[in-house]
Amino acid sequence: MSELTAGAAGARHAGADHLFGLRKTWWDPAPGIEMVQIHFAWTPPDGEPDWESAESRVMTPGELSRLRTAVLEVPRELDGSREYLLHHFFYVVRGTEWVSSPVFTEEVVTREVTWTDETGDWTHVGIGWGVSPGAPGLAAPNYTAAAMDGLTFEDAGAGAPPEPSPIHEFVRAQPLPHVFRGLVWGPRGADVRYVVHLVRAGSPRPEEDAEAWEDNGGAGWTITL
Amino acid sequence: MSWYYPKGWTDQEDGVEQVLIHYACTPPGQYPDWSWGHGSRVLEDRGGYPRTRLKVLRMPREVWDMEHGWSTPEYRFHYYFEVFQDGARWTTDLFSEDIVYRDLEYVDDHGWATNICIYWSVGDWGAPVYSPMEDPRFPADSEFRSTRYYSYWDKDRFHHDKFHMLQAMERPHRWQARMYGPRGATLVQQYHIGRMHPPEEKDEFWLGPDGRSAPGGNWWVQHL
Repeated sequence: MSELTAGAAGARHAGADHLFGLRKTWWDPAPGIEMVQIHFAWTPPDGEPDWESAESRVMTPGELSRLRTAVLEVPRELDGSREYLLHHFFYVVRGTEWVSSPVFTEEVVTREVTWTDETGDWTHVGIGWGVSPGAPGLAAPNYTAAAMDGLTFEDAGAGAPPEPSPIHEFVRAQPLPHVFRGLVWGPRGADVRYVVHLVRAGSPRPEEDAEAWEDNGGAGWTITL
Repeated sequence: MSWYYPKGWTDQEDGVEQVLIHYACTPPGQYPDWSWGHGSRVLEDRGGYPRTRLKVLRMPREVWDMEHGWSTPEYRFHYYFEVFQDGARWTTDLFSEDIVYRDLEYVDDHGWATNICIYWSVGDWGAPVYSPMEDPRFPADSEFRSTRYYSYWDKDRFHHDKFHMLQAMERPHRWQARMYGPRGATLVQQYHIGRMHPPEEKDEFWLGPDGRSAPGGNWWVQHL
């Protein structure tokens, strides 16, 4: 890898990554636990984590329970692949005693969510989604800007763009129905709950621009990874 | 390893459906090309009235400066919020902050400690970070460097060998590590100190200006 390539990779890593949030939980088995850290790293399939350069987060407790949580910020893509391994372990301190959990390895995979716009009302569709480790409210919220079939410059795995791209005419030129596809991520076997965000932007008459949420009556939709 | 920066939002009106933060990091004095790689994250709805929202961002310890061909630990953090409200979207102004660092040194006159971390967080204790400390004289290639501690599965061996390596070093031991945050902000900070060897002397605590405490019990405030 050249220095420039490494630098560019470093720059992307530095602040321009596309990430998603994945909440992890820990239940204190007894009172008096002072510290719980989660250490995590990602590798390609069959890779071994380099724990020295791994990430970590402090798992903070709720006010009234022994439940601790932390949201891991992990990549949407690793070495050109959207599927990879996520490794983590817990490090726990109580008094002068410590314990490390075994290393858990999960396969991060994607699933495609589609939304069909029969009438061509919307120029952009987003997927609001999250993987819950328990109660639905624990899911860390994420957003994917879906790609419309026929618009080859769009990416089904992108995060929210800096602003809605000016593609009103491109969208209108496509035959109906318009099919939007967006990716969601999480550990294999996990349930992903999602809602759909509909945006009309760049209309010739700006007052016709709008956005709305489709959430299946508040329940959202669920798919299993 | 990264550090963590909480960015919050308080709804000023009803009807806010979702808030995103768009952000990018650049070397000092530069501005981002938003069309080429930026981060966007959804703020978590924390409820309450007025409703508050929060995202804890994973932040880099350095940013690559393509212009100069080096990495810089001090950089610019640019961000704005995108708000979906009442069927429309709007964005805030663009904000930019200087991200700076503060190096801390803990002087252990008697060579008592075997493990020290800075325990710190930007603003309050909402997004704490442990930064392992090391005396710069400690061998860079040693398997007993503090950054290798957590994943070193034979902790007894680590404690034993590190203790003896430290005992062989002239005192005082000067443990060092780095914290980060936006210029002008405050950091809350303790030390997490352990003497993990010999076993009969094992001791571990969090230290603030008023002495030993629980994590976040009493702390220093550092101004960046």
